[in-house]
Amino acid sequence: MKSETNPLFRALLAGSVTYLLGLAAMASEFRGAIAKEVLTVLLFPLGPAAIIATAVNLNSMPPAMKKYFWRFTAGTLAYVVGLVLANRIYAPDLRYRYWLILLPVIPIIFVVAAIVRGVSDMDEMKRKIVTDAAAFACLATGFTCFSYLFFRDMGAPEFHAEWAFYLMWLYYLIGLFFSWRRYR
Amino acid sequence: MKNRLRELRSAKEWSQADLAEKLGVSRQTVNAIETEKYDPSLPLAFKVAKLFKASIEEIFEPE
Repeated sequence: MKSETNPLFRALLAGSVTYLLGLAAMASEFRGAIAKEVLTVLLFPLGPAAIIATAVNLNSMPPAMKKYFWRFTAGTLAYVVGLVLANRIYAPDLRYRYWLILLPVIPIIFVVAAIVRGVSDMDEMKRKIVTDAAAFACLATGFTCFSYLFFRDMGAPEFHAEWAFYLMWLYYLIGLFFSWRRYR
Repeated sequence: MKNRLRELRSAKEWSQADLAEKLGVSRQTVNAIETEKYDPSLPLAFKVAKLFKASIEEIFEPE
């Protein structure tokens, strides 16, 4: 009998190795070198992408999901290119530096549109699970951020915008777990 | 909402996966409808009714 490695195990292995390579590239000593930037920004998103792509067999994907997958990948890669370009060109005395920093935002609009379209093309119960989780993440993040302002006023450290992003994902995963369990 | 989906599917000797494929939804959706954890959308309810050649009221019943 032909023995096959579990696809999920292969996906986890491929994703973890890619992610660790990204981490190694980030920690490397090549300061300012374009190779380091390219490796870092490419390998970090490619790690999770490798996990998803290997775990979900692309050939068995419904056409709508396949379209979503390619749109999302193209948008993310364009974002990475925009990020590298913005980092390379940026200089503190540059006249259009604020516009330059916004460069990667353009492909992100495309990614958001792809996600919204992907969600509306989903199987109806999965769409309900995802939208319930997103609603929870949105409200919980908003209220947590707002509530933190009271702590800040009492002397807690200043709120950083990136915290909202991490919080949103954390709440989304929590929401996804409970929503998925409800319809299991 | 109560429904007779499992009974109708069993009568046709279809698996949940067979029914899911015919309806164009996931197997999990069929399972969640059968266990009455999820109420289908109106278009899906019409698809179910058409597939089993019955009216929506004959398959789905409010609690």
